[in-house]
Amino acid sequence: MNNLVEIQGLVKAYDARTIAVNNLTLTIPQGKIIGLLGPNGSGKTTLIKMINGLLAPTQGSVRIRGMEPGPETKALISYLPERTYLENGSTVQSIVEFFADFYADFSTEKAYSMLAALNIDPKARLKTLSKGTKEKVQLILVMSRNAQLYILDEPIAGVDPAARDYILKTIINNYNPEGTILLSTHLITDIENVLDEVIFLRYGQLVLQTSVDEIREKHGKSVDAFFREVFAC
Amino acid sequence: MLGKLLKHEWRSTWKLPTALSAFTILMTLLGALSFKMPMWQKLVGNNPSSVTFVDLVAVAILITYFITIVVSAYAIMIYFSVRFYKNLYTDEGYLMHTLPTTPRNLIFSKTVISSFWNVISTTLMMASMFWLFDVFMKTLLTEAEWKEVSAAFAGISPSINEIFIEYSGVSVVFAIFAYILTLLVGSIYGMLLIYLCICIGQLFRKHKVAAAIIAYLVVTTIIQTITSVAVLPATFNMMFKMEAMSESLLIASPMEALVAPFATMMPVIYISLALSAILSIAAFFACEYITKRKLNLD
Repeated sequence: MNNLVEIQGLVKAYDARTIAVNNLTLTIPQGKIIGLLGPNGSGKTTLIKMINGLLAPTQGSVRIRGMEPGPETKALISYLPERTYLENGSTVQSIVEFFADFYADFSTEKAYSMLAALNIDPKARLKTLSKGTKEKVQLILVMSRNAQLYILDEPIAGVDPAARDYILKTIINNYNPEGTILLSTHLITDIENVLDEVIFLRYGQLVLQTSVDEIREKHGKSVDAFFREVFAC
Repeated sequence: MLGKLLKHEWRSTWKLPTALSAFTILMTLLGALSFKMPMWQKLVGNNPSSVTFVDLVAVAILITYFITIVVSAYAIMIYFSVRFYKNLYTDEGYLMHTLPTTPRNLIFSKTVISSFWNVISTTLMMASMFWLFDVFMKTLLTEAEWKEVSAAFAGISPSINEIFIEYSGVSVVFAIFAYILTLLVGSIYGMLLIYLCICIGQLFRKHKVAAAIIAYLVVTTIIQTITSVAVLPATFNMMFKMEAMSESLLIASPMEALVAPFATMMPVIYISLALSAILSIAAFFACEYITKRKLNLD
C-alpha cells in the first residue's frame, strides 16, 4: 500500500451555508513533499485539522495507514499548526522533555543540536522569547521527529525572507525521507523548488492534484504561474 | 501514556495550589496566634479596656484567615477549570489533542490532579477550622474548665453513640467519615461538572465560553432539582420521625432529642454521596464522548 492518507467524500459543514470542505476525495502518497495550495478560505487548515483529529468531519472519512485519526495515527504524524501551541510558562528544556516523553520517534539530540545552532537557551522560558523564536522552537520540535507524515500549516507565513530560508532548510534537512511532507502555504514561489506534488483546493473542493514536473512539462509554467492562472479572480 | 500525562499535568499545575495550601497553613497558624492576643483575655476576663494596635492586627488576621479559607477553595476550582479549558480547547489544545493518547487519558489525568488538589484543599480547610476552633475554645476556657468539659464530653459520648446507632444504625465516627467522604466526593463532582460544561460549550460554534456558563447554570438547576426530589423521601422520613419524638422526648430525654435529628439525617448523606459519585462518573464519560466524537477546535 503506497498511499499514506486516504480521504473519501470528506465534508465539514459548520452550518448549512458554511461548508469548509465539500465532498473531498484524495490520496496522499508516501515519500513525497506535497504542497497543499489554495487561496484563503479554500479549506486547507480545515482539512489538516481533520487529518489530525482536531475536527470531527460532518461526513466522509479520513484514513491514515488505514486507520481513523486516533492515538495510533497521531504517533505517525508530526504536526505544525499555524499557531503557537506551547505553554508560555514552560522552559524550552521542559518542552523538549515533553516531546521526548510522548513521541517514540522524537530525537532529543537532534532537537538540542538545532536549538544550539540558533543560540536558543534551553533554560529560557517561552514567554521570554520573541514570536519568531517561539515559532522556530516549534518547528525544531516538529522536525526532530522521525515521523511518517509531517503536516506543516503555513510554516513560512508572516516571517522575513531570511527566516523563510532557515525554515525551509530545516524542513528539508531534517525530515524522514521515507515519510511525506504536506505543506500548506500561499507563498508558492518560496517553496515550489522543493515540492514533488501539489494539491489545489478551492471552496473546499479538489481542483487539481498533480506532480510539479507535470505542471512544468504540460503547461510550461512554474507552479506559482499556474496557480495564478487557475485561481485568477 | 497515562503516567506521562499525570507527570506533566502535575509539573504544570503544582505551584499555585501548593502556594495556596502553604498560605492557608500560614494563616491558620497566625489565626491561632491571634487568639493569644490580650484582647481575648480581656473578653474572657470581662475586663474591657481600650483596643490596642495588637488587637486590631489580631482581628485583621482572623478576617484574612476566613477570606483565605473561602477564596482558596474557589481559587483551586477556578484555576483547574481555566487550566482544563486553556490546555484542551485553546491553542494548547493543538498539542494536547495531537498527542498519541486517548481523550479518556487526557480527561482522566486532569481529573486525577485537580481532584487531588481539591481533596487536599477541602481536607486542609476542615482540619484548619477544626484546629482553630479547638484553640479558640482553649482560649475561652481555663485549663481546669477545659478538662472539666472534656471529661463531661467523654462521659456522655458512649450514650450519644448509642442513641446515634439506635436511630441510624451506624456509629458517630462512621457518620463523621461518611460526611467527610461526601464533602470530598462532592468537590470532585463539582470539578467534573465544570469540565462537562466546558465540553458542552465546545459543541457551539461561537461564544463557547458563554455557552459553557449557560450550560453550567442549566445543568446545575436540573441536577439540583433531581437531587432535591431524590432526597425528598429521606427528608420526609426525617421530619416524621422528628414529629413523632415531639416534646415528650425533649422532656424525657433531652440528649436523645438533640442527637436523634442528626442520626435521622444519615439517609440524606448516603443519597448525596451516591448521587455525587454517579453524576461524577456520568460527567466523566460525557466529557470523553464529546472530546472523542465532537471535537471542534477553533
